[in-house]
Amino acid sequence: MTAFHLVLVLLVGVTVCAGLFAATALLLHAWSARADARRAARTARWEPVLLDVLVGEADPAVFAEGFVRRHHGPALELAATYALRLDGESLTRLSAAMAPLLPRARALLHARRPDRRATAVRLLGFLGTDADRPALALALSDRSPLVAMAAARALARTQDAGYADALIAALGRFETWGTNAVASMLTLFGLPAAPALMRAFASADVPSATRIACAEALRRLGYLPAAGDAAAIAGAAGGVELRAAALRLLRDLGGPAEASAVRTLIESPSDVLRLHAVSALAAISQDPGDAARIEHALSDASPWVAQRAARGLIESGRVASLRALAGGAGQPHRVARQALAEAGLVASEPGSPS
Amino acid sequence: MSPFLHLALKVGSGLVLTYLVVVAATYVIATAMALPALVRLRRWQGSRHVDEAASAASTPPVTLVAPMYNEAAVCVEAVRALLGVDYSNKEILVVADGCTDGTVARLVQAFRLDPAARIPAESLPTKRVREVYRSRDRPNLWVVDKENGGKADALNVGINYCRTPLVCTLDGDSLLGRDAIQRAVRPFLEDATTVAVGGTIGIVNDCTVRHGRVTQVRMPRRWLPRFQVLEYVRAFSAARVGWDAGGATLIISGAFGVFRRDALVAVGGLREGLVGEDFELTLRLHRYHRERGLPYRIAFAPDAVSWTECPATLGVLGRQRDRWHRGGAEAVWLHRRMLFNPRYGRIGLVAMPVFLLVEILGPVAEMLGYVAVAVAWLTGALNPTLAGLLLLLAVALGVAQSIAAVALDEFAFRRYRSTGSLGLLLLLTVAENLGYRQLTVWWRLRGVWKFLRKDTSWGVMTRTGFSTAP
Repeated sequence: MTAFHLVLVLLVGVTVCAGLFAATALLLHAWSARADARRAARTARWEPVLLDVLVGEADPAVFAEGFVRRHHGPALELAATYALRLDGESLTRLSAAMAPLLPRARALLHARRPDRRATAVRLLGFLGTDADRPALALALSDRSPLVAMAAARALARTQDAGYADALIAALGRFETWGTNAVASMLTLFGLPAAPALMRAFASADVPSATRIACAEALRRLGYLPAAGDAAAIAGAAGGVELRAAALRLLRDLGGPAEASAVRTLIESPSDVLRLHAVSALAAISQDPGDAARIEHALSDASPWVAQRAARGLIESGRVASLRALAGGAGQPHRVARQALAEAGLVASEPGSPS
Repeated sequence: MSPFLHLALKVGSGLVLTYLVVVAATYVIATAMALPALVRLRRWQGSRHVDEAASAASTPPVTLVAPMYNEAAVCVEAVRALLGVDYSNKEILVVADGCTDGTVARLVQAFRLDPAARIPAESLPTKRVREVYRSRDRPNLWVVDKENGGKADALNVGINYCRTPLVCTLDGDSLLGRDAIQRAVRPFLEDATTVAVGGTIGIVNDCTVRHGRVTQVRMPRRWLPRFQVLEYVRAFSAARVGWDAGGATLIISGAFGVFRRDALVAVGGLREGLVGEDFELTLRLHRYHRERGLPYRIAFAPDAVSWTECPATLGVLGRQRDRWHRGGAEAVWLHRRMLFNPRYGRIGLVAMPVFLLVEILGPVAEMLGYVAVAVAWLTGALNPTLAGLLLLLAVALGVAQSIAAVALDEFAFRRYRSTGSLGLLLLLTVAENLGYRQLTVWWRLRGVWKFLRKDTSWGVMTRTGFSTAP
């Protein structure tokens, strides 16, 4: 084959490919437009009935009547967008309305594609019954971590604290997820899961990331009995992040009884521990000695600690001492001025802040 | 014809052909890698709702840093857009970089700004800050007025004054999509080692903007912005998705990127005096983490969109393109140690060499090809039929790649929803070869020349303002 023929063959091949791509784009466009129109029509048809069901003006059983099989998935998806925002009786009515369609979601649990399995656990978490929970717990060990995470969130959303231990044991799989995301998920269980969270938080055998997430969840749940363990963990030798999580918990749930454990950390060489110790001490102690310690932290080498100290003074109502400091020119004075201005307690004067 | 010239022409044409094959292979591989990534994205969109993430109370606080230099025409609309972004846990920090057109005065008036105290939490070296303002009505809106020092300097001021774990860097005229931050933050939640995430840039020219939000996406009315729409679709819906799928995201656009603040501080912030500071920063983040063996991820979130006005005149576009090209060359030169170095993994062994060969040297190779054809024609060594076919093949490859990118965009995003827009995009894949492409080659060559001369000027970007609906 000559160079001419080779180039000609390539040119024809590339042109045919370009034509196929263009045809694909046009077909995708037409298909998507049609799918959008169908979705809009379905939603317009189903939504009024669904709203009637939710407000109690229609029997939940009527919603799924006459549904053809291919509509089960879209109907469940529509219901899931409502379920996300509903609770209590409305959610119960929604679940009852969707019950005849749930076999579709249960079948998807065994799908080959992980996104379909994730959709299934999400739908069963929102709309499923008690009988679906073992399947959700099983999905915690799904080979896809994203499905496992969806299962964890779905299981937590059921608020069945009986599964809290299983979920906490599975958290090792989600170590790449941020602490906040995991803690937020654990919080969905509600207060009944607090004893399980506290056991994990206090156990040295549990991985540190899991303990931190449990501490964060306990803090968000406002579980006061956790303060004692938190004080012990904050004061013990261990990872900075875990001790910082314990201090955050103490800030929200601790009291004067835990102040001594926090006080020792005000002089810690770690910026992170000093910051959280200052924050916690300002919140839990009314001792004048502690107020002096927090004022001293306004001169801390870390601007984060200094600013947190100023905010701590404001949050604990010690504004007078901060106002007295605001007049000078050094770091503690600038920190005081900024904190007061941000709290709307005094207008800061113009001038170079840096 | 002398034997030397004959040999030179033969070698030259062989090199150009080899180059063409390498470039085509690169595009095919990137597009092929983008397809499964977009299929995954589309599939998971059904089971991962942004609303669910928003309601999970797990969203980390983000500071949106918008540097502005003489953006009086668009600054109020841009800040309104930032305030309207659906993300509860955000602070907005506008950094006015020595503006002389009344940008600060307009912001002060529009948002009732008062001078306020704010202490920088970091101390990256920057130009002097003249004043810090805070909005009386919107307590999460801050404006830092500083002496002019360039975009990198302004962003460094933003990093210094940022108090949240995540920093989102934007252009002064960026209009973030409603859920852009939710989507850009998701990789940080799903993988704690993520240090930076880039988003897609869309072109806002002739779109309808209402209350700082793009409410109707339309193709621009003028041809120059239309060509740029196609370029952006090619870059963001195909190339970057493909590179991200291969774990080799090389560029996070300065117009929209979310970074971990501590990672930015660790690498010393943005480097000043460069024209491609965003690209250089991404390379430095790669280098920093790889040299220390730290686990990290730099990701791309194609469904997180920030809209920006693109140049509408040849002069401004030419300056932008030569600056981009200089920026790319400069960053690769600064980090040349990473090139072909196994220590830097797929970044040093694949992504950077491909960038150098295809993007930086592309216009040089194309120009050499034109010169070789001209010389061969003048010396009678040209086979006109074969040369014509080769030219057609090069054009067809480009068209096929562009159409594939349009198809991928249509599959995953459908931002331009009308059939007319799609038809126009397809038409542009051919039309851009009739002059526009050659112009960009010229501008990029100018960039190479200026890079060699160490020219670091920015040029002026003229804003016309958004077409705001009542």
